[in-house]
Amino acid sequence: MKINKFLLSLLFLFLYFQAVAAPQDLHGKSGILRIEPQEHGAGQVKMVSDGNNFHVTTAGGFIKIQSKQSLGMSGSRLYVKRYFNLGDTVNAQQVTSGMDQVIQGIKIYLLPGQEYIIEILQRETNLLIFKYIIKRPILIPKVSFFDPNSKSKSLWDTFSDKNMSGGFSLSARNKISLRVVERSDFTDLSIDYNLRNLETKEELVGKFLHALDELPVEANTSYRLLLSYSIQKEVPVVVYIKIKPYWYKSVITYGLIGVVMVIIILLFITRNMSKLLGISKDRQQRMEDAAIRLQSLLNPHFTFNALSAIQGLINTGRIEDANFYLQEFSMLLRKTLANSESLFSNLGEELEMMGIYMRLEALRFNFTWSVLIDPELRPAEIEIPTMIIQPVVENAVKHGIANLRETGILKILCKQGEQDHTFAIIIEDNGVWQDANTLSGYGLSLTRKRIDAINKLDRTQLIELEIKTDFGTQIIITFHNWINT
Amino acid sequence: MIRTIIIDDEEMNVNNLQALLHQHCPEIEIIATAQSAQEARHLVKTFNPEVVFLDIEMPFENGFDFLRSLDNLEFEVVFVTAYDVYGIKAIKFSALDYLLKPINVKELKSAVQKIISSVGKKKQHTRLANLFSLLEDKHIDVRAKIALPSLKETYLVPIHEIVRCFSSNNYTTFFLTDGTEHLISKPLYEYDEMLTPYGFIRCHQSHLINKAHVTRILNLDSGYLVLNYSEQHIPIAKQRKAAVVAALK
Repeated sequence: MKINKFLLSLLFLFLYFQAVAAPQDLHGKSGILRIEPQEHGAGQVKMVSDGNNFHVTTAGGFIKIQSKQSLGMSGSRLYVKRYFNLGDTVNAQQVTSGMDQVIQGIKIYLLPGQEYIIEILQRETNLLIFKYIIKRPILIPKVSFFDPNSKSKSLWDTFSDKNMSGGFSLSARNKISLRVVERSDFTDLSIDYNLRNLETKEELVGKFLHALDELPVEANTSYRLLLSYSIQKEVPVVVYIKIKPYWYKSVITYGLIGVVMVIIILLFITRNMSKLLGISKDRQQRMEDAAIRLQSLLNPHFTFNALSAIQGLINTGRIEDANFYLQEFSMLLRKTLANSESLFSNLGEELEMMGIYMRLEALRFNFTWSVLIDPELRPAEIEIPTMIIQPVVENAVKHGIANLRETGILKILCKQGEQDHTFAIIIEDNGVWQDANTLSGYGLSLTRKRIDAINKLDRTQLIELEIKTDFGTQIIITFHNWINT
Repeated sequence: MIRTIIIDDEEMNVNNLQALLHQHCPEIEIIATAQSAQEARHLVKTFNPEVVFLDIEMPFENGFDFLRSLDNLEFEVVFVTAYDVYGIKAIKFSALDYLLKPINVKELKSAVQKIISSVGKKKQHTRLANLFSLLEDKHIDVRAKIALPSLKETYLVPIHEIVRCFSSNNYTTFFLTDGTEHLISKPLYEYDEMLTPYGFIRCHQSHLINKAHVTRILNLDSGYLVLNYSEQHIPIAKQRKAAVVAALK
């Protein structure tokens, strides 16, 4: 114990001197780690300490963690534990490492809402000296819409709607202005906007800081506006705006009474139809968004069949197996429910889920399965659309190998693509899909739809799905420009 | 002992049902099990079972295909399925028995009890015929027939010919457009669930009426409905009045 106290006081002494020596750390309590955003000046990191705990919040996803200057003697007596806090201690991916790596600097990526924990402990006694809780809060911009000429009263607010998304219609005009409600935690965060004309499909893209004075619009047009903090594009607010036509536009043709009469009659007949058409454009766009948001949840077929298999284990006395599979099943269920809210999820987690999924299906159909990852890929750092591979794996089980039983083989391969920044997920089975239609059938067509919808969101990052049937069946999903390094 | 065959493509499910029947239904004797329709056809011919527990979802040939492939059905069928929205609906409209996976022991026992009382009477024929015709049409509309199993026989009635249903305890009386009445030993709520999508309204705890046959609303007390083919005026429950009026608009 005496040694401990001695070491601790040594450490504080050291920190004190460091604080004096490095005046940029004004509080002197910022601990021994320096945590910096990696987003070229856009990222922001805040740190608050209470005793030995440091609560760090970061707006951006990429951060660098480095220890301050040399730690000298004390550095070698310390070691570091760092892990993602998954809210589930059993499941925490624990990485234990020495100080060395941290001294040189490590880079991590956090999804919105994710937490990363770094504990610095004393090597001999395992005494916790510092704990850093790094959290990336979910940042959703609160935006109000105004008439540029009367900025006192807002026309509409995104936060008046429960879902933070929605739509409104305005009388004819050619500009609207936007203002963001400032946050208390981070200031001066810029906002990305994407205004899409639903008639011409043209897009206006830009950035603004606190307010956007003039967003040009046209009368008699519908728009979709996506708003997100530049630092957190993962969670956009979607707003539908409809600008009504100018009233006098319809008066222009008033001179030609005879023509008008005809038009009125024609309008009367086609009014309902054009109304429908107008709505359907709007609706189509909404559906695309829904396709992105509508994550593939676990199929009820799978759910009840898995439960039935577990019941089978119980009633045939295989209690230990039953417990094991019940745990697996609940883990899968929990993860699906947790991920159903987010558009993207990391590849590592997705593959882990597919591992559990295949283990459960193998209980029913006795096939062999494996997941292989190219060692050059870092699954924890790659984001893919949540549950994008699940329906494909499900189809492979259902149509490819369920009939093969013990001879069935199902593989998921992840490898770096031939082009830079590209990787592919390959779902391969040795079956011949019973019905050629299933290759284009319901499960895959839904996946294709979702891919199309996601591709429309960002044309620089395209996903491609192809099918090969040379040996068994291979579904290849290629992600272009999806990896940073 | 009732000679029984279990058909399910998954071995685990066969074992499970076998274990449950063994433990809870001593009247059932399992004489064979099969993991495909092909195998099952052979077994049915060899063993001539009295009851078949049949999984609906199987590769190549599903449970319905299997039944259709047999020349004459000499056994009672209990369908077993994990999840099949349309199949279950067609089974319900044909008043046939089914079990959902994972198996609920209570439901298993009650299905077996029903079988015991009907083995040898070949009651299922008309109901299976209705099932096949519903499966053929791929969807159920008001012209489709619903099976109403009374104590003596099973009536097949087009949905639009039902004027109203009246509940008394666990029985439901059906009033048809031709003036006939059938007493069925099933509670009203089961039919409420089945018929609401076809324009039926539960206007009162004991009354389920076909909206298509309503001629007017009498504003007496909390209201009464006047129906075609029915002399009696059907009361509207006070708390349901708003919903009934809205549904009739």
